[in-house]
Amino acid sequence: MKNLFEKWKTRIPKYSETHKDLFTSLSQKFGAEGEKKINLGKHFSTNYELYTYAFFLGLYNNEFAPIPDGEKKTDFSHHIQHWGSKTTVSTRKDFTNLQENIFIALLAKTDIDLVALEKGDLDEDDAVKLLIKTMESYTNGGLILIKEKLEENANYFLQPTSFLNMILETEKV
Amino acid sequence: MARKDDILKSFLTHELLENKYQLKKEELPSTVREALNSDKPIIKAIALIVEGLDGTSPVTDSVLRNQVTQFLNEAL
Amino acid sequence: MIIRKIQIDNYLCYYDTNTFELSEGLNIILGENGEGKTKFFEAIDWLFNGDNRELDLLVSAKKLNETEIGESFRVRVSMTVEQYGEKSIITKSFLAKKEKANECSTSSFMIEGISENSSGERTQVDGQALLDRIFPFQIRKYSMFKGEAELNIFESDSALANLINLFSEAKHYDKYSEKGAFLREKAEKAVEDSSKLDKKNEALYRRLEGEILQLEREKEKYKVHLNATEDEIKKIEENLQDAERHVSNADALETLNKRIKEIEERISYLTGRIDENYTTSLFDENWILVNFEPFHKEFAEKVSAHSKTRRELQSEFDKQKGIKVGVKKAKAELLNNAIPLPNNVPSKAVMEEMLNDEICKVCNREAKKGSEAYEFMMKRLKTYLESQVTEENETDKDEPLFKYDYTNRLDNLSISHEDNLKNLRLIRTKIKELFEFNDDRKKDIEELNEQLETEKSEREKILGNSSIGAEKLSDVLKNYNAWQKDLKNRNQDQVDCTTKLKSLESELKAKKEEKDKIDTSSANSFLIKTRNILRDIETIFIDTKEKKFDEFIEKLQTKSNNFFKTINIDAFTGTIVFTRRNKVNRTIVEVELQEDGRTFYKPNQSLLTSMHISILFAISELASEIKEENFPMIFDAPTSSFGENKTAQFLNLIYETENQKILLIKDFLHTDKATKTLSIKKEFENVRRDKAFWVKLERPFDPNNLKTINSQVITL
Repeated sequence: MKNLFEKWKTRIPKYSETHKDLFTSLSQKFGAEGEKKINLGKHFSTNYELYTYAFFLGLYNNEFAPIPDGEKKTDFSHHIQHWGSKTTVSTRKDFTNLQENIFIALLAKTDIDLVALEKGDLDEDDAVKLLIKTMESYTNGGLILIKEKLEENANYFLQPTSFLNMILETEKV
Repeated sequence: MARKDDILKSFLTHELLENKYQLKKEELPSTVREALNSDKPIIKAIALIVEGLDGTSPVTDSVLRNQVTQFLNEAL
Repeated sequence: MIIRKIQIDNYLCYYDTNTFELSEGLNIILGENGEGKTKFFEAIDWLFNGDNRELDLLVSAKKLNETEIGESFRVRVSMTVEQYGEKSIITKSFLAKKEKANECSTSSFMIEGISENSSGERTQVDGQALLDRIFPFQIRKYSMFKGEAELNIFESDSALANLINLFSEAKHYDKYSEKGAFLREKAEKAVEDSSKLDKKNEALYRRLEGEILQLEREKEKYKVHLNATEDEIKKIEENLQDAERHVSNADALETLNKRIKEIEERISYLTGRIDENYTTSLFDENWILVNFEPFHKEFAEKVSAHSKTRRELQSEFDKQKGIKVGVKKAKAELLNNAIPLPNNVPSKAVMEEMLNDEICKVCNREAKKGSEAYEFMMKRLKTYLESQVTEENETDKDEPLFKYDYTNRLDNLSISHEDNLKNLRLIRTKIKELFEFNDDRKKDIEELNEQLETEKSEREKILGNSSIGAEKLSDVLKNYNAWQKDLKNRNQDQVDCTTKLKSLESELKAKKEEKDKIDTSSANSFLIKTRNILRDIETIFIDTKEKKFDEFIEKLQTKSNNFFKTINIDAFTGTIVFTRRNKVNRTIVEVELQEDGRTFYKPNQSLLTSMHISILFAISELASEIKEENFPMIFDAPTSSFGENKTAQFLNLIYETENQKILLIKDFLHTDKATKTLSIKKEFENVRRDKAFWVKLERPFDPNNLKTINSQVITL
């Protein structure tokens, strides 16, 4: 029995370099929790949190925005399988379960010929690549939405409820 | 009324005179001159002293003493 | 005695001649600070009491400036008074000679007196003598009231006693008590000498004398100690009273601080309970999945569809294979050629259970052993079991249709997440509840903050009212408790002392009686009789003197309180109390303010002033009664600590009293903010007086240049 999920989560998804600023301002590479996070003025403790958020934001808003071919991509060197693991952080809960949700959404939204995959006609890596592409595209969409919001109102995210609200507002798109 | 009379009178209101010496208020003189003629030794003695101090011609201590003792000698 | 006129020449700010023609009753002199009001008072004071020192400091700078070097001018203060129909003029003056610019030398002052009789004849008299006759020193002392600073008439112990001796008849009695003592002592000695002559009693007598002396000495010692203790008690009570004001604050402060701390702790607790980590909760609480359900549905459908498709294809494939191979691998076929379920559904355990119970638990039909249903289920189970075992020797020369099975895991994923969907549906509610919770906590905190503000401002008030800071308050509390203890001890001391004194007294009495007995038996009876009478006479004298003294104090007290009540309309309910205290070798009179029988130690300035003014008026009234003559009273700024009400009351009162008054005040003057010009307020028209003046500096003037200073007197 093969597990596409297991294969997928070994990957590191990328994002467009144009959003590098968002990552540096909103989150902290290698993590910052609690006081450190507040001191640094970050909304997200880790880069992958922002990534995850952007993904769902894009997903819920149906903002499928593939990164244009020309654009440079970058990542934050953190495999998906580690996302949400907070074993070293007592103040946070483990949310590795979200990985599955992401995978579920990706599989739902990605056109993979499962039959071909299972027949062996489609390479597993290629299938995973497709999933990652979907992930990157929705995430890109989400990041764009965030960027637009900031341009509209630079102070929007200063409210503690702003990120939550953005998610809540998208109901059954 | 001369001051010496007022002074005398103020002395005579003392309770000793009524209690110890059994002198009734009505019996008390109201002027020094009157008091000098009193037959009660203590009254006359007081009057002598008042006269000696506030009278027309004040006397010296020894004179006063002599006056008083001489009188008392006679009276007692 | 009435002051008709005061003339000031070249004295300080009074350049050249300045005249005040005074009336008999109330004279009000208005003047702004620094424009000549107080200098007027000081001029009179100088006339009465001034000495020869530093006369050059009294010279008018303006006049000096105008004078040529080598030339002189006279500095003069002159007073025209009228007494018993006779006019007198008292002048105090000195010559100032200009030596250099801004410097002068002065002659000694001289006091001239001129007496004018009814027919206008003037005679020169000795100035000082005239002054003392017209305005005796002791009365002068109590006629001038200078602001709040100089109230020392009551500071010195003997001051009031002297005053009383001055005014009361009690002074006449001093000599009587003296003489009485003298006569008695002589008589006592006579008796003693007579007694001693009797040898029999000599020893006993001497012993008794010695003992009496000893007792007297001890008595004196205790008296001194008692006085000291009483003084100490007074001091402690004063401290306590002062502290009490703070202590009631300190107590209240402690309570408040506790309350404030409690509230702050509660706020802190509630704040801690507020959870506004919304962004973090998106992950930790999985709130980010709030809208996930449709996507799961899509996934589930996709997977389910694929699974069906796979089974379909597999079934087809198998069918083809089956036809080729035959019934090699007999696969259970379903009715209607339906697509079979995946091998592992129902699971092995479920299959075994159903076989065991001989029931198909899905459709609730019997599947007895041996029946068709039973066999079908058995075959299924076998097929599943076989598929789990990799048969090594199974050479499948033909390739399977599906190399891999991803479906299984995907299916599992779908099923497991299906269960979780109900949690997803609860997310919105959870979020809403959290918001509500946070809002409620915030509201609670707001209320508590309001409470906190109230308590804090209460605390501010208390701290503001106590003139000392918060840390000092706790010190006060500590001291207070120490003082209370001290007071207890001192009071005990006082009691012990008094008791001891009493016992000493009775001892003394006993000894004296013993002595008397001897005297009586041995001494000349006449001497004894005389001595007894003189003893009584002395007692009478002393008692009468004290009585007179007390009578006067009583009068003074009553009068003072009458004035006091009138001035003090600010509802102060205390009274002025005079107490005679016999100190070791003199009598003193103390005056204090009492409220409900308790001494009021720290009256504020306004109260103090009214108290003293009342006493001065009382003294003045008494003086009038006794001397049958009125004397003027001069007040410099008595009302500066009074409010408007009290000032008005005071002015009314002061108008009513009989003697001549000169009142220097700065009320009723108004400075225009823009033009800086002075004017008299309209309210002054309503103030009753017999005459009014206004002293003001000639404008323009330079406050730093004395040469420009010149007070002008304007009669209103």
